[in-house]
Order: sequence, then structure tokens, then C-alpha cells
Amino acid sequence: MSSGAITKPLYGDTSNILFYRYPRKFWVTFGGATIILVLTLLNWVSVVDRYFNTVTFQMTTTETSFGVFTALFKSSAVFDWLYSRQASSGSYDPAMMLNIFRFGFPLLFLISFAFLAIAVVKYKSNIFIKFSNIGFCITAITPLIYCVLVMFINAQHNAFLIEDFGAKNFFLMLLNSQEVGDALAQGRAREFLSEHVSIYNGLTAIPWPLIASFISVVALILLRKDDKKLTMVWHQKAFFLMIIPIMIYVFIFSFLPLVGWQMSFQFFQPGEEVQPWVGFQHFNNFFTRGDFQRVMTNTLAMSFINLILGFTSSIFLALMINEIRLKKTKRIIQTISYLPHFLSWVVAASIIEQFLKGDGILNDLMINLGIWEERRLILAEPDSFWGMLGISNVWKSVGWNTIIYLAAMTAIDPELYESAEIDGAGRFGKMFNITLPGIKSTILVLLIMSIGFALNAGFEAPLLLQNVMTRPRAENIDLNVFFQGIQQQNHSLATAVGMFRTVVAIILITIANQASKRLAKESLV
Amino acid sequence: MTDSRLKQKSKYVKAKYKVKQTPGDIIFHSLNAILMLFLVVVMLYPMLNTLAISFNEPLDSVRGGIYLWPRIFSLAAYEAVFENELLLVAFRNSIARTIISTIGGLFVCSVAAYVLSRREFLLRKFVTIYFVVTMYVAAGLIPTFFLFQDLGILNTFHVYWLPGLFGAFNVIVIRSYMQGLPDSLVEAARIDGAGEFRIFLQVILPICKPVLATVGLWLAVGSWNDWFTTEVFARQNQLATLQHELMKLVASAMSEVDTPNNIPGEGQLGGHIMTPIAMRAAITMVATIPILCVYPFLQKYFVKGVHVGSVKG
Repeated sequence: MSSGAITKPLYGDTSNILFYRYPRKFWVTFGGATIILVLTLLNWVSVVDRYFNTVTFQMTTTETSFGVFTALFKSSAVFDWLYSRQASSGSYDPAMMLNIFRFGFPLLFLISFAFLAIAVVKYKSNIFIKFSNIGFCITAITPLIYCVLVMFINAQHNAFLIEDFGAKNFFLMLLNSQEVGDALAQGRAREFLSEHVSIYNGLTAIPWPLIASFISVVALILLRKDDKKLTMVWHQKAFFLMIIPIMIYVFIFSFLPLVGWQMSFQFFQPGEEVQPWVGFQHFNNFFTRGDFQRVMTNTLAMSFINLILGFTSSIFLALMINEIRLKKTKRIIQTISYLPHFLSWVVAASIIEQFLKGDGILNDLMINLGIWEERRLILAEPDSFWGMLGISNVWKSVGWNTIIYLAAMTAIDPELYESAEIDGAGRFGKMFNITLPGIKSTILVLLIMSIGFALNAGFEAPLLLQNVMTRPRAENIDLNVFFQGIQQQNHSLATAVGMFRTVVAIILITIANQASKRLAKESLV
Repeated sequence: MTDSRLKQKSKYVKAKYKVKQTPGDIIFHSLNAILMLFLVVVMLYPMLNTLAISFNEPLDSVRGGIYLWPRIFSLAAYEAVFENELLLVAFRNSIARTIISTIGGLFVCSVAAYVLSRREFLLRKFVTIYFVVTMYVAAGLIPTFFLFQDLGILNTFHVYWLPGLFGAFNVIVIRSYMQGLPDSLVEAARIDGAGEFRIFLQVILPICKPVLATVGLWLAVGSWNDWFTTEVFARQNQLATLQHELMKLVASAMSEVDTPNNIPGEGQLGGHIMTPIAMRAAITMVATIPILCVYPFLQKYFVKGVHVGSVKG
């Protein structure tokens, strides 16, 4: 277990004593790691404590917290906690506190991290690696929880109780500490900050603790492997050079907008500097409004109809195309059936409108065949909107959806058909007993996954095919977000609705993925 | 087994397989043929109908009753489209954004896919998960809007190509293809002293043509067909796109639909009386034909691409 046990026992046999089983340096580094662990645990305590004591705790972090490592490990949370304790008892000494937290904690962190680095590189003790892993786990999770709690507390109290995500500390760290120290000592930190407001605003926009979490997670992953991998990082620098810009790009365009979810807890007005917090008011509004039931009904009905029609039609079509014997005809028909998939929904809607309108071909046909007695304006009938949308979806995507089934059908062993033929199976017998079971797992996976997307009832199709008369039946969650957010400028409500949708969708998809793993031994993620 | 018996048997076998068509088969195949005919009609008729209307005399089209062939042949609708300056701008923008976002997107996605396809890459699993998460977690419309505003790309041309460079699904499709390539290719190049960038550009990319064609088609079609970006993020005339102009016409047609006697607004354009119905048909065709031109050539690739995408491991 230990790599460098004590070789020369000085006072008799010491191998039974735990302390001597490891070199002394190990215990030093072990101590360093313990300090980290305790500090991060204290951080945790303070975060939790903040949560329970928010009302009495109305300080601004600017005037109190100061630490080089705050940006990374939010040591100021400990400070804030101590401060709140002292402030409530009335024995607050700013200078003493500042000195402790300006030098004390950062120094401790620095030292213990140096020890940690030595320990990881030199002693590959399992116990130690495990221990440092726990420490890293906690340090990684702490800022994350901190961010969430800050948002949550602010939302719950409808106020801006805790002002930042650690950005101020980072800002102060970047500036000349003497200058900042003077400003703090003279009690004009706010003025000082406002002088540097542009840099400050830029920094506050970035959720530093989240980034710290991210860095810690990466560090954790790297440390969990043996240290040879650390040198491999250098050998793979080309890969990192290629992938890191893309990861930053993805972070900006996919993950950074998630910060905007805080809008759903605010009364957001563009251009205002301070957005008032309103808690869960928008969610309450959305759930209790009459709209909610209608929007949810529309969403679920549309996706249910899409699901049923989409699956039956594409499986049926795939079976039928599979029966065509002439290879060339088969390919031509497939090519034609994909065609609508490549049209935009705008073009499709234009064509559908042309097809369904009062003097369009469908009306001509139905009246000439005597099925309808008078011309119908299907696009203006609220009751037929769901069906119309479902059939439009089938028209647009049925050919494309058959690809996957046809591909699965080609994988079926032809010998099965031959032996079935010898056993006297007819065409439909083969279809039901060989082809369908052969593509069963494909169908199952696709079905489960599309149940995961139950709240994604489409956006473009209903938006382009609806009009004022059919809107009550057409407005699903996506349309609701669009109408609320873009057309009525109700940004916060739209964000809340969108957030609700995404969260439910992720839950559904996770469940669906797990289900497909269990049932079909296949999964998409 | 004597020769004669063998002959007899082969004759028997031949005979058995020659008489394949039972009456049931004939009925089934005719029904299937009818079904396929119906399918072809349903898929093609609306397109051909729109084509016919676009070539018909605009004012005459309002009377309706045009099916597969124009009643009075005229190029007036197309002339109107190509005389309209806004539509020309839109056409140019559509082409520019399609080209830029296809090339840029292909480059970014294939770089990411290349790194993820190399088994020795340390953070392979982590980065894969990092990318896949983006397929499921979307911030939503409003946060995206404010992000674009903060980045300063709102109402600029950049909003058309910059946000769409990366697509997790495309990366996975390309990665699956690259993983299927033999490792010896990379190793040989490495022994010859090529760096990772050179291996990627000169060894891997050229043999990934099929999958790049597939993903390129998806990117091009997605970019060409997109109207929503214009609607929300680029509301300026000089940033108009073809699909968005068409969308405006479709939306006005949709709102007119509730009046039984559908009287379209008429306008004088280039000596012809232009009607929305003819205009819409012509724009529909202009917006569709570029895709229909590339689509048959790339078809053999994208069937393969979809297959690869569906069986990723």
C-alpha cells in the first residue's frame, strides 16, 4: 500500500504503529489535505448557515470579504459567516478580520495545495488519493451549491440579498491590494467599485464559482488517474489546442445562456441595471393561469398525435417499400418520399395552404367525389387543427423516417425468410413473424426516445400553420414562449416557461434513456 | 444419384421457383403499386402544382383550378421576384450564410470529431459528455436573445453563422465514421513525422468525404431553410433571407384564410398585375430549387450518414 515505508526502525519494532508505516512527509501532506477538507467543509457550513440566516444577514460582500483564493474556493463564505456571527453579537473588528482573511486563509490554501501536489506526485498511496479525491469533490461541489443557493435565496426573498457570485472578490484580487485595502479601511469600497464599474460589471457577469467548479472537476478527473497521465497531457497538447477553443465556444453558446435562467426569478426589464427579484411568481402565474391547462393539453395532444401517426405510417411504409422487388423502382420511390424532408417548413406551409384552401385541390376532389357537401376551410377550423398538423408532419417526414427501418430490415438474415418459406409461411406471415420482430428493437428505442421528447411538440409547423382562429388549439409550449417572450416582450415569463419545459424534458429523456437501456439494451446517450 | 434423377430434380426446383406469382401475390403487388403511386402523387403533386402556378399568368391564378400545367404561361412572377430589390438582397444573404455556415460548421465539427475519435485522448469521455449535454439542455429563446445582444451579434450578419458552427449530433456522426477508419493510417502518418494538424488535414479529412458530404448537406439545408433567426435576431431589411420573405407571405395568406371569399391584394409590379398567390409560388420555387439541385447527388451519402448516426456506440 505504501511506497516508501520506514526502513530502519529506531526504537524496536514500530511496524504496528500506524504513524511509522508511512514516511513523515506523508503525514505532513496528509495534514495539508485535511486543512483543505476542513476549510471546504467550513465553507459548506457557512453556505448552509447563510441559507438559514438570510434575513438578519444583509451585508454586502464588497466591504467584508477579501481573499486571493475567493474566486476559486469561495473562502469568503467562511469569512461572511464569521462576520455575520460577529456582527450579530456586536463585536466586529474589521481590521482584524481583514488581516485574517487577506493573508491567513489564502496562505493556508497555498501551503496545503503545495503539499497536496507533492503528495500526489510522490506518494501514490491509495488512501491518500482517495482522501484527496473526496477533498476535491467537495471543493468542486461547494461553489456550485453556493451559486444555486444564492439564486434560490434571492428568489425566495424577492430581493437582492446576496449580490454576486464571487466576482467582486476576483475583481479586488486583480486590483492593487494596497489601494483596495485603503478603500476598505476608509469605508468607501462602494465608491471605489463604482469608479471601476465597467471592469466590475464585466466580471460580475461571469459565474466564477461555476468556473471554479469546472476547473476542480477537470483537476479531479486528472488526479484520479495515475500521474503518468499528467505528463501525457503535454504530449497531447495538439489535441488540447484543437479542442479547447471549441469547448470555449460551446461554453459561450450553449452553457452561458443558462445563466439567463435567473431571469425567470426576476421581473426582468431590458436596459435596467438592477432587476427586482420576484421569486417563483412567474411560475405561479404560469401554473395557475387558465393558459396552462390549454397549452399543456395542446402540447401533449400534438405530440401524441405526431407519435402515433408518425410511427404507424413510417413502419407501414417501410414494410411496403421493402416488398417492392424492382431495385430501381424502390430507389426512385424512396428518393421521392424523402423530398418533403428537405423543404423548409415555410415552403411546406405554403404548399399545404395551397393544397387545403377553399378553392384548393382537396376541396375540388372531395366535392367532385361527393364526400363533402360544401367547401371547407380546413385551416380555419380549430377542431381539425391537430389532425391537419399530424398529417402535415407525416407528409413531411414519413419518407425520411423509413430510412432507419429499412436499414434495420436489411440487417435481417435472409435465411430466416427462406426457411419460413419452406415452412409454408405466407407474405403476411413473414412480415409479422420475421420482419417486424427483426426491427422490434429499433422501433422500441425510437418509441421510448420520442416519449422522452413528449413536450417538444414542434415549433415551426404549428406556428406557420396556425392563424387567429386556430390559435387556441395551436398554442403549445414553444409557441407560448415565442408569443410571450418575443411578441409581448414578457421576457421573464417566457424564460420561466422555457425553463420548465427544458427541465421536464431532461427528466423525461433521462427516464426514457434508462428505460431503453433496460428494455432494449440500447441507448442514445 | 444418377444423372437423369439429378436433371429431374433441378428441373423440379427450377419449376417451383419459376411459378412465384400466386393470385394472392398479384393482388398484393398491384395494391402495393397503387399505394406507391398514391405516395408519389401525394409527395410530388403539391410541388408540381406550385410550379405550375408560378409559371401561370399572375392574375389568372387567382381564379384557381390550376393543377399540373399552367393555363396561361407567363414568366411574370419570376420577373417580379428578380426585379424586387429586397428579394435580391434576401437571395444573396441566403446564399452567403449557407456557404459560410456550411464550410465553417464542417470545419469545427470535424476538428472536434477528430479529437474525440482518437482513443488516446485523455479527456475523451468528459468532452463527449460535455458536448452531448448540449443536445438536451437548451437555455431557451429569451436567454439566447440576450446572449446575442451582449455579444453584439444581434442584427448583424454574424448571427447567421456564428452560433451554429457547432452541432453535437453532427460531431457524433463524423466521429463514428472516423472511428471506423483503420488506426494504422494515423500511425503511419505519425511515423512519417506528421503532426496532429497535418494528420487531420491531409490524411483523415480527405477520406471522410462521404460523411462530410452528409453533414454538409444537413448544415446547408438547415441554414438555407432557416427563417427563424431572421425573424427574431436579424430584423433588418439588408439582412433579409429568402425563407423569411416567404414566411411573411405565407403568414399573410394564413390570416386571410378565414374569409371564405379570399380576395388577395393586388399590386402593380413591372407592368404586370402581381398577386400574392403567384408571388408566393415563385418565391417557393426559388427557395426550393437550389436544394433540389444538390439533393439527388448527395442522396447516396446521406442514407449512409443517417445509418451511421443511428447506430452510434
